[in-house]
Amino acid sequence: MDKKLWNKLVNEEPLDAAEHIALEQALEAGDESLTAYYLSHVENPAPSLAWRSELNEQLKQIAPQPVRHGWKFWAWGGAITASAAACAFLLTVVMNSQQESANPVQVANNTPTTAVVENAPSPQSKDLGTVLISAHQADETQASLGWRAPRRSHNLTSGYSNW
Amino acid sequence: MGHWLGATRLATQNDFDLASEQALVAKCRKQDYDAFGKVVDAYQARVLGYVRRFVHNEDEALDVTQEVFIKAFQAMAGFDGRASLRSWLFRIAHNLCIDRARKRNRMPAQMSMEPTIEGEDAFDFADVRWDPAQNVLNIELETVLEQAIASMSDKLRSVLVMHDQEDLGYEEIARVIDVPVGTVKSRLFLARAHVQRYVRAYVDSHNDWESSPKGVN
Repeated sequence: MDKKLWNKLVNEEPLDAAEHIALEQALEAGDESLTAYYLSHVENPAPSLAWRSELNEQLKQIAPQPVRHGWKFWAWGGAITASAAACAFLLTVVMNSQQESANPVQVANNTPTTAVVENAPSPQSKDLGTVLISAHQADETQASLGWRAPRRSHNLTSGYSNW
Repeated sequence: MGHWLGATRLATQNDFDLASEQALVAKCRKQDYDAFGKVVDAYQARVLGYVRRFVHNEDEALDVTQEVFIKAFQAMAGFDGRASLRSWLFRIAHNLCIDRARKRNRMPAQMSMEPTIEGEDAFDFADVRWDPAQNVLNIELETVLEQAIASMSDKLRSVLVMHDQEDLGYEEIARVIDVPVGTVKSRLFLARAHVQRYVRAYVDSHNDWESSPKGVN
């Protein structure tokens, strides 16, 4: 290789076509050189396991932690539990009310009535008028709340007209 | 020389095929720790082998190699896949080695840019073609080669190692070190010439020593 080309290579100057061909030929010959052969057969020993373990620890530290949805679990779980508890409470209240209302109350003339409230007077301790009023009020309350269909009165439906 | 004659070449041994590399890269972009572990397994020895030639200290080489993979893991989301994973890792390694050299304010021993042997065939590589059947190299020659490689400038050594040791192509090397392809070719030629000249000087001095009369007072 002439000195002119050598200097161009050293100074990293652009080459003309002939110089470029000369360089390509030199590189092709160099691919078979001792240097290329030696380097292509150099063994690269792997780092030790301790090195790898240390790297793993460092990578774990910078790796993004998996997104935890614990707060969502507790929020939804709490809401569902609260809803279930509320439903159970309401169901219990309704069942108790229906059970109490299903117990007939003996009034003075032995006519059963279904409406009984907790503070309803006992037929033995109160007079009949008080008992009837209390039973009526309880009945109206249950009907207004929708717990029971309104009691039908035959007297009113048969001959009543507001026209 | 027996320990490097017939040694398996690592250049293509651990490379992924295109499809599996793309799948692996896709997982690594999502910071998949296990997927990146496979990348480390595949390239740790080669990256270390490259870095080792620039830091001249085993502990520092191991530290820099760890840094390469940590930086790669952190920057994986930005890896666009235009370059191969291999050359991208070498780019990171190359930049880290350059940074280290600058921080140490180490001035690498620049090879003389003047040819010491003038003439048409001063750097004709054909005359030293390696024929394993006819030539016997020994540990001493291997040591001389390593010394020759270590004594050249970083910019020449990086091209030489990437091309001859890591089997990267000219274009790939150009992307890694961010220079034109022609510059890569020039540097590769100069690097090989440097080694050839170094070995030739060693052989000449050895021949002079052998041909000199022994026991002369």
